Formats: sequence, C-alpha cells, structure tokens
Amino acid sequence: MHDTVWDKVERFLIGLLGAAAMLIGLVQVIGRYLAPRYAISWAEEVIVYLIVWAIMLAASQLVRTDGHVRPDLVLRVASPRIQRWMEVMNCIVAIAFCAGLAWYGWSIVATSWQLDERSSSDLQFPMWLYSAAIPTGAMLMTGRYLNRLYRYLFAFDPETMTVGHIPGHETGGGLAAPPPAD
Amino acid sequence: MTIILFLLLFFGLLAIGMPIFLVLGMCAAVLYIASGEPLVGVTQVVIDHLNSPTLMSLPLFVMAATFMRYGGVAKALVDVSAAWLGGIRGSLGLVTVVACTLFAAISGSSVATALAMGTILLPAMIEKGYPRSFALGVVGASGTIGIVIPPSLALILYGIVAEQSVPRLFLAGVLPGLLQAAAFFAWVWYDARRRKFPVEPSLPWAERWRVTARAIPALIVPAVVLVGIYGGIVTVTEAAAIAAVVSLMVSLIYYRGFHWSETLWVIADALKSAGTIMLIVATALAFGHWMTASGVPAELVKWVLARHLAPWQFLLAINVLLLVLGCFLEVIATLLLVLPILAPVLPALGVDPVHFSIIFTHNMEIALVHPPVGLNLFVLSTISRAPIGEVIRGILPFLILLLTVLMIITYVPALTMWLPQAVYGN
Repeated sequence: MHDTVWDKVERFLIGLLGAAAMLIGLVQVIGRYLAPRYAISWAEEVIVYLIVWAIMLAASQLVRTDGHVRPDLVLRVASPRIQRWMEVMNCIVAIAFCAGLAWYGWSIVATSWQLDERSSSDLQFPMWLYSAAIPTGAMLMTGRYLNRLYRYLFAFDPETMTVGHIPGHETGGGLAAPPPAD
Repeated sequence: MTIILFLLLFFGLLAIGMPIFLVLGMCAAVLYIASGEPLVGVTQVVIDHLNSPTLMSLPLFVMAATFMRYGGVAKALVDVSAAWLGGIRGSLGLVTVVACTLFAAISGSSVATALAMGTILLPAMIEKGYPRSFALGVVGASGTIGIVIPPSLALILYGIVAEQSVPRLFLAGVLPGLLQAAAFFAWVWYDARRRKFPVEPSLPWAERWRVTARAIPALIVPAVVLVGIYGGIVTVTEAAAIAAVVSLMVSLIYYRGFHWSETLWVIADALKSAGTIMLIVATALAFGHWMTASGVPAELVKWVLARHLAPWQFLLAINVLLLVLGCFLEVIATLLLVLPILAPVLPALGVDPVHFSIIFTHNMEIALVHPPVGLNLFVLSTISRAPIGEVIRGILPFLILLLTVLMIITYVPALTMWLPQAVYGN
C-alpha cells in the first residue's frame, strides 16, 4: 500500500503532537525543581489535549493499515469469499458508528464553542478545541472505512485483502518494519 | 432483556471479526437507545473520559518502550545477562528469563517483550542446539512477565477503571513478578540439566564489566521512573513523559539504533500502537458508564452475597471465568469489560482491590500464552515460522508454573500486599 501525501501529513502531525507532549512534561518537571520562576502548572492538561489529538489522527492511520485490534478467530477459518462479505458488513457498521460519533461530536463542539467553555486551570484553554479531536478523528475514520468498503465491494483481491495478521498494538508498533527513512 | 440483547450483539459482532473498539462502541450505542438515553451521551462520555492525565501516561510509556526497541536496547540487556550467566548449563534459557524481566521494567507490555527478546534469542538458541519447542516456550512465557512488572499498561488501566492509585498497583506487582521470574529460572535450570542443554563459555571479568557498563544507560529509565514516582517527585504522567525523553536520548546518543531525523516517525509508530488501546479504552468506558448506571453490578453483589460465597470461593470462580474469557478476548478488552462489573463487588466480599489487580493481571498473562488463542503464541509462531502446535508444546511446562503462581498470588495476599503496605501504610 502506497503512502499518499495525506498519510505522510497524518503521521507527521502524530509525531509532532507526541513530541510536544513529551517535551511539555519534561519542561514542567524541570521548571518545578530547577527554574520555579518559569514553572508551568498546566502541563498535564496540555499533554491530554496533544495526545488525544494525536491518538484520533492515529485512529485514521489504523483503519488504513487494518491495525485496530480485532478477534480474527472466525475470519481465519472462513474462505476468502465469506471473508469479503464479513468485511463489507464490518465496514458498514464501522461507517455507521464513526459517522454517528462525528455527528454528535460536532454538536458537542458547537455547544462548547457557543458557551465559550474554558478549562478550570490558569490556562483557560478553550474546550471546543480539545473536543474537536474526537469528531475529527471519527470523520477521518469514516472516510477510511468508505474507502475500504469500496475496495471490498469493487476491487477485491483475495491475495492481499484476507486476514492472518497480529494485532499491532501490543507489539509496540509495526512488526519488524523499521521506521521509514524519509 | 437488555442483557440478552447485549450478549447477542456483543458476540455476534466479535464473531464477524469487528475491531474491539467498534464492538464496544456499537454495544454502548444500542444499549443507550434501549434504555431511552440520548445517543449524544455516548460521544460525551468518550470526550469526558479521554480527558484524564493518568490515562495519558499509557501512550507516553508506549513511546518510551518504542524508542528503546528501535534503539537496540534488547541486545544490550541480553548481553549483560549472558555475561553473568555464562558457564551454567542452559545459560541462554536463563538469559531469556533474566533479560525479559529487565526489559519488562522498561516496557509495559508482554507482547512487546516477547517480540523484542524473541527476535534476538530464538535464532541464538536454535543455532546453539537448544530444542526449538523449548526456545519458543521460554521466550513466550518469559515475555508475559512484562504485564505485572512496573510500568505496566494493564495496571494503569486497572487503576483508572477501579479508581485505585497507580503507584500503589505498580508496587503490588513487583514481588509476584519476581516470584514468577524465579519459578521460570528454577525450571529452566532443572530442565537444562535433565535434557543436557549446551553450556556457554563464561566470560573473563573485564569483559563482564564492559558489557554491564554498556547496559547501564538502558537501566537508567526504570530507575528514573521508580525514583521519580516513589520519591514523590513526579506524577505518573510526568514520569512517563520523562521516561520517554530519557529513552529517546539514550537510544539516539548512546545506542544509536535510529537517526534523530527519524524521531517523529518513530513517535508516530508508537502512538499508532497506543491508539489501538486508547480507542478501546474510550468506547469501553462509555460502555462501562452504561453498565454502572444499569445496576448490573449491584445485582451481582446481591446475588453473590445471597450465595454466601467465601472470598476464596469467589476468587476461584473469578479466576476460572477470567481464564475462559482470556481464551477469546484480548487483554485490554477483558480488563475493560469485566472490571466495571467486578470492581464494585470487591469491597462487599472483603477482597482488596489492590490484591485483586495482581490476580487479574496475572490471569491475563496466562491468557496470553493459553491455547488456543494466546496472543504470544501467534507472535512467536509468526517470528519463528514454527507451527503453532510446537509453540504450545514448548509453553506447556511454563503454563503449569504460571497456574501455580496464580494460585499462590490468589491465596497468599501478603505476597502482593506487603510491599505497597510497607511503602504507603494501610
């Protein structure tokens, strides 16, 4: 599967958000003990916002690479033809759920925006900006699942599109694949 | 009625191979509709529950472990164990147990440990003439130590769902984890003599110290985490962020496993794997929210109390239930599904939630290597290209040891409770 520009953008953003979260944690601890004058008190709060955004973008990548944890016990024994229709079913349910999550998510974001809801810390962070991560991720996943549904309906290839994989999450990432060098 | 609806939906969706987060999310949505609550509630609960600093320690610990893995830390840990265990019969098997325990203190996940160690030690053992089934068994079983030795991703989640202090849970896992490592060590030592495994030459002392010095930067990470948390210097989330920074530094500057320009891609990789867990957590908590409101846990308490079950009978029943569930579901999913129901029941039955956390996670360890669907079995079968049956044969003696340790953990609460009580008091 070839990386599109958007895939690279997604992964780049995930990396950037994660790096920022890590560094803000470091700054908070160093500030507290070594430079109290510049100490920040809102690091943990901001770490949440950064990581949740990163995770919701990663969710989209996970749909693309079929990395979401799934029990493939039945799939493994099913014939490719049956697998195809199980996948179609999967995609339809997934699209329904993700679209719903996005729809209700935006309504929550809109309410939060209208009420100008802020976090209770010194930072007074606008909460709509945090909440928006969930519908954004859900929308991206909807798009990915629509793409997947299309491929299983109209461009099915039993060689590459039937399962027998290890869920990626506990392996700490892509199996033996080294990070891309670019 | 809703329970039957839920069970049908849940197992139906699982059977067609739907991702766990979707299964839980759909179940939550249908249950909200069935009990007349607005659907926007599901989304609201997801948004609210993700807003938890403690939960964010999980992706940060995954980042630290991923840096270490790409950095080539596993090799350094294997070398240091081999340097000190050389000259003993079957030393590579013993090295596997010790190196996995060390790696477990850096990584929070069992499969990551089995994978990192397996790729180095499996070929080495087979080349030296160890039986392949033994090599597979010892790597798979030792990998499971990762789930109880702190930092443990499963214990972080347990702490969030059961509202327990994560540092306390981490301490509780230490002695049971070491007991398990000791049991494996003793068995490998015995098996090696019985079956005449090869002997590695012992290294000269100068060489031993050189190899040890090389592993020290890797061991800084668990030291920083432990001193930081138990010295009261940092929160769990800050400790995780610091662990990530230190592992990145150590991997880039000292081990040079990857180039600094690749850092963002490695982080993206780490967060992708953390993402699978986080999405399950988010939807499972929406589901758990409904579960608590539905009064099922309260009913369960009433039911169990009416049976006059002694705590030991209750624990035995729960262990059996978890072992069965572990055959079908994956660790995080089992934890998030069962715990919201069980957590409220524990105090009523006189079971300490901290003690129970280790019973639970140890049980999940067994699930990882339990035929037919233990995840570690498949990881090993994939990386070694050995048939799954051979992996199972190799893991059987360790499975018996694991079950024995489970019984000890369950019925000797002091093993789990002593350390947290010594540090924090009651």
